[in-house]
Amino acid sequence: MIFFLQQLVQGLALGSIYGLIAIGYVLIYNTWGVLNFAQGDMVMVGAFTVLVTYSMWGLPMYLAIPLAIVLCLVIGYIIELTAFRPLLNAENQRRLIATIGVGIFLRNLAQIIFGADAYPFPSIFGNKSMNIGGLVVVPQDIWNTVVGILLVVLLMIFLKRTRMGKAMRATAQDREAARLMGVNVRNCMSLTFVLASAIGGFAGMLLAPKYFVVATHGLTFGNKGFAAALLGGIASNAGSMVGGIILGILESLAAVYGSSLWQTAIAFLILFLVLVVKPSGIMGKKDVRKV
Amino acid sequence: MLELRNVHVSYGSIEVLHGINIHVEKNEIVTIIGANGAGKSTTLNAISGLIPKRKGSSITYNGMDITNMSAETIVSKRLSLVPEGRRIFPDMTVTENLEMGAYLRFKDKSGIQKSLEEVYELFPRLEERKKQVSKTLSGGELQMLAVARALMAKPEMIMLDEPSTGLAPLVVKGIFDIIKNVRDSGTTVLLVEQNAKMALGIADRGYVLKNGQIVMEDTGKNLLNNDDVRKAYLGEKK
Repeated sequence: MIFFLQQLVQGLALGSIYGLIAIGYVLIYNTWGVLNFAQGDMVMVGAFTVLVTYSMWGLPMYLAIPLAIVLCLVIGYIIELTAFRPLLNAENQRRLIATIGVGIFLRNLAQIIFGADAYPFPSIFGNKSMNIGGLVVVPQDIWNTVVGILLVVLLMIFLKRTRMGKAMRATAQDREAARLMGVNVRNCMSLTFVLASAIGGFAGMLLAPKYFVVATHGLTFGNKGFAAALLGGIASNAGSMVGGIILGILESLAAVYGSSLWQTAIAFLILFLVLVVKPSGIMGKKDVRKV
Repeated sequence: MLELRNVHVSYGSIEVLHGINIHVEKNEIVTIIGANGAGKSTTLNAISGLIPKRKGSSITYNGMDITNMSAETIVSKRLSLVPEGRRIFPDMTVTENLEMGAYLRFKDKSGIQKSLEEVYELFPRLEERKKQVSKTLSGGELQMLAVARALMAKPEMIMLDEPSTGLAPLVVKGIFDIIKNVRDSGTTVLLVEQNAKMALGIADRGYVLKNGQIVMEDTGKNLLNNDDVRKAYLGEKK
């Protein structure tokens, strides 16, 4: 039983990060109407920015992380201006291919700058394991769970309650009508994009201590985030977190009760099953939009 | 109050409005009628800043040149459009939609509250449904919400694009009663309609738009009794 709970705790910690990656897909999909396949690479970018500010520039953690987030915002804005905005009214296929292109570009850029090595990164919240009633947990896992879920809750409150958040929702639901209300749609779309980029980057920072920092991060975690987003219903913010946690727990159970080889396959299995059985996801909306 | 002079609009290389002249005076109800594809919605979208105008076009509102203003700026000049197809935010509640209407009045919290009460008084149906997500409303309720949302911006003039589309005759009558109410409470109305009979019935003046040109202009009453109009737009035989 303890062994099972142990896996749940670990799955939860991993899953909340998947949820963070997934919500980036959801935010951009809702507002821009396109799946951003470079979202996973933003996770990688986030991991490298904190590697630069902390390990290379030697800043203390409380400065390194905010600065890394600012860098992610800036990089997100550059991507938006160069690859998303010019194609806003283009066909969906072209936009989709552009996002894949951005991903390839970021991955190779990281490889040119940092090489193909995996860089270790120290634990942000400490990695001395604690024993809680028989469960062995590392602080990093607890904090990843708390921070991941808290961030999604805060984001949902922001979207629900604040004027800016409402404008972002209105923009996502009907761009032209939002303009008629006086909303500056261009700014709203930019804001959504950089916010999603920064959240993806932040997820990368949380992952860095456990998974090292490597240029191909985006492929691995992008797929998991995408599977989580799809499982939750690609248009639902809360769903993305639920999807992420389910995926994290399934992966962690599969690794110990099946084989660790299964762990990576779970995300693809979920992708496949959701698309075949319930394309709208568990918390998805009924209406279908073309990607 | 509103004046269009020589307004040209093109979609790509195809010109759809060939130099339109329209004026609306304060507290009037003016209607533009015409067949499908005549350019009625284009005219309203051009006024509201959603689509660009060709060079040489001029639109003035309350003495301001609004020809090249963006849609979001034009709303702030208190000119609102109720777009074709209602365009309600589907995943927001009725109240949230109405609050979006007052988006630019964010500094005036008590004023928004007062407007909400006024709007609910005008549309008791919406008050009953205020916590409901908008996509669950009926067509008539959606149209009411669209009008109510535009009123939340406290416009001096409101433009309505085909408010009767897809509604049962009784509901249409209700909507038109509301339009009259809106005018009586001091808001000028520019109304685009395919339902020419209803529109001309409440309008002070009307324009007939055909293939991107104004072909007739008169009082609502005279247009209703005009033989050409009756034949072409009211479906009556000679």
